Amino acid sequence: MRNKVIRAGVIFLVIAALCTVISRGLYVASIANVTLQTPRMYTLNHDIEMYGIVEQSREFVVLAQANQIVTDIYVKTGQEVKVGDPLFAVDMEYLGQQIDSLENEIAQLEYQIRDAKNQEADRRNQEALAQKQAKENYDRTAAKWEKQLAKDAKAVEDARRAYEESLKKKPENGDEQAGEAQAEQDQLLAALKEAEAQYEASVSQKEDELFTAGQNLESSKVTGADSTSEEQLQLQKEQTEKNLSQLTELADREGKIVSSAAGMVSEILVRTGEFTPSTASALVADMSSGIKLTVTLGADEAKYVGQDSGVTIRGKDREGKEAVLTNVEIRSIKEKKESEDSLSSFEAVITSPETVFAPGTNVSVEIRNQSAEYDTCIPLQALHEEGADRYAVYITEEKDTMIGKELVARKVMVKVIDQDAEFAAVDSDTLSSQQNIIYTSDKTIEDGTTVREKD
Amino acid sequence: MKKMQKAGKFIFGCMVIVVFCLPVVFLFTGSLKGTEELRESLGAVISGGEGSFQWSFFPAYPTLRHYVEVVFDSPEFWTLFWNSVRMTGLILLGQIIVGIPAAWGFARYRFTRPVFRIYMILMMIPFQVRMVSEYLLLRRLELLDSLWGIVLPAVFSTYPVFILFQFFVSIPEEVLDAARIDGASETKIFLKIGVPIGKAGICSSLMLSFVEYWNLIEQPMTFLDTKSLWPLSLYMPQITEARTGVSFAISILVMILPFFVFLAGQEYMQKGIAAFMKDE
Repeated sequence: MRNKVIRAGVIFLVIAALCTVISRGLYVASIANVTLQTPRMYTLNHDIEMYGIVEQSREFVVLAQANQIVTDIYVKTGQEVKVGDPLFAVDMEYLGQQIDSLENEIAQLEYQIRDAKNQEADRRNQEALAQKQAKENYDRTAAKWEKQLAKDAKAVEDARRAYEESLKKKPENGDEQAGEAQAEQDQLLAALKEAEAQYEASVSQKEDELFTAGQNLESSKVTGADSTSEEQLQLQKEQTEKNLSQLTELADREGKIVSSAAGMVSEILVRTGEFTPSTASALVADMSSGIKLTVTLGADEAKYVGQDSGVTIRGKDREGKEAVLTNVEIRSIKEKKESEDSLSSFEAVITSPETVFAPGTNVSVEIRNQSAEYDTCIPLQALHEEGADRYAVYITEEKDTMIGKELVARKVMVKVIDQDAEFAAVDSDTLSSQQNIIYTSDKTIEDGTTVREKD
Repeated sequence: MKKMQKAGKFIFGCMVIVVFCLPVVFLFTGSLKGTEELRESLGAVISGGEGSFQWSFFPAYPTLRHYVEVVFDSPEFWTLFWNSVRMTGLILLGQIIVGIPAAWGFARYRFTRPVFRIYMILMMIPFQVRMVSEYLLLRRLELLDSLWGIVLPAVFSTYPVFILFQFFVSIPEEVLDAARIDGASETKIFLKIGVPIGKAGICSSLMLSFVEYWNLIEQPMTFLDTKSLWPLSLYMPQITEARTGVSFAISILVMILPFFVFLAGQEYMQKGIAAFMKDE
């Protein structure tokens, strides 16, 4: 009996050992296997790669007389030209008609100028005559009234003298002579008053007439503005002569528009049979001016790009071989916002004095920008987004459990200062460089989950 | 009359058996009940819920889920199980090496009796009284938070010495004198005569020690901080109310090894008690 019990006890212990192993195996299989990393110092790369089309840095504009009919185009886009090479030709007959028309127009303008000149002279003469007449009228009026006033003043004086003399006379005989003397005095007094009244009236009338004559004189001095018709016609004539000169020059070249600089035809803006525009007819790229590219950057990319950022351009050169150009600089970065609601984007113009790449070549542009060195950087894979601009990482802590020392995941909220494609710089106040960060895990982990470092 | 007496004894015996077995049956049936069923039965008692305690010895929806959870999903249970096995085994081994010779010495050599009396006084002092001094001693010996901090004080426990002393002191001196006359050394006398004669007592002592140290809780709770060193007795307090079924299953599993030990040694226990009573 005892032996059986002992045997059963041993079997129980063996089963217990097996169960121990199985339970341990199941437990280990359920634990997340993680890789750990410690935060480290790192310089973030804000390298941006994009594509662009090469353009020539400078282009010459080829202007031709407007409204000429294009008959021939001698070049095509991408063709190299020298100074004086013909680019396209216009119709000579139509050109000749235009020259004739301009010459007629010039002749008409000359007649018009002459007419304008004569009209102006007549106007001036009339104004001078009117002024002279007004002056004469004024002088005559003044003289007339001087005489009249002198005459009236003398009459007043005479009447006053007669009256005063009558007052001095004493009648010798009685009332009859006194009465006659009185009547005479009254008459003389009335005559005096009348003379004075006449004098006053003359003064008043003189003033009125002189005022009127003076106004007429002033009016006659106001001359009209000088007519500008002649000058305008003169200008018009000069312009027409200039146009004629240009058309004549074109005619002398048999209607051919030539290139004014050496370069490569980058665009032809005219078509056979159509009129030449008043704007550019063709664009010729200056081969010696270097190349440029215009690339578009998003708002997130643009904040890392500055004019001192290093740039490398890669692509196929003029001979078709892969080339790398490092003598490149960013000339300008400007914000480009198409509408109020759209997101901001930025346009960067990149230039190089070298002409390794032909205009129109599709090249890749790499803009290098390194940030300052950050003390605490973690792989981007270790960062977990917890909401808008909120991030967390899982660190490991050693926990004493009944099985032994185990690693437990703890969630720590961190503040991300900067990040690139691989790493994120976090605030060293939220995370220390001594802590182990869970980098990858083969299972989902949460705060408090037991984890195991991968072998 | 005799038949009635026999029947009465039988009934009384059955009643005693039922009373003593009831807790075990309670645990076993509880370990087979589902969580919901246990909440309904024990909710009023354990978590202060409404209602009253109600228990059915036959589970409505029996399940082995709790056993599976303990045996396969709880590796910490087995860690603590083997800690208990190791601790108990080392203590018993130590007691065999130290306690048995000590008891023999106290029993057969009279000059050791004064020491033995002092030794027995120590047996009266409960652990709660000597806990602080023991803590300071272990700290000085750098045995805190170590399995030896539990094993060594238990190895030198007075209780097994006391039990074995009673067995060894009952061996007739004439037997030993005869062996001395035949030229046996004291060691040989101890190993060839003392130990075989005292086998029953030794087994009894070891059994009682096993049960005592398998369920040891105070010393590990006081002196062990590292959870991976805890014995199984400290696993139960970690179980929450929500895992009552698991606690029942653990209680049953914890009982198995002591049950085997008891079954294996009950004969010696009976002999030992009989011999002790006879001497008395």
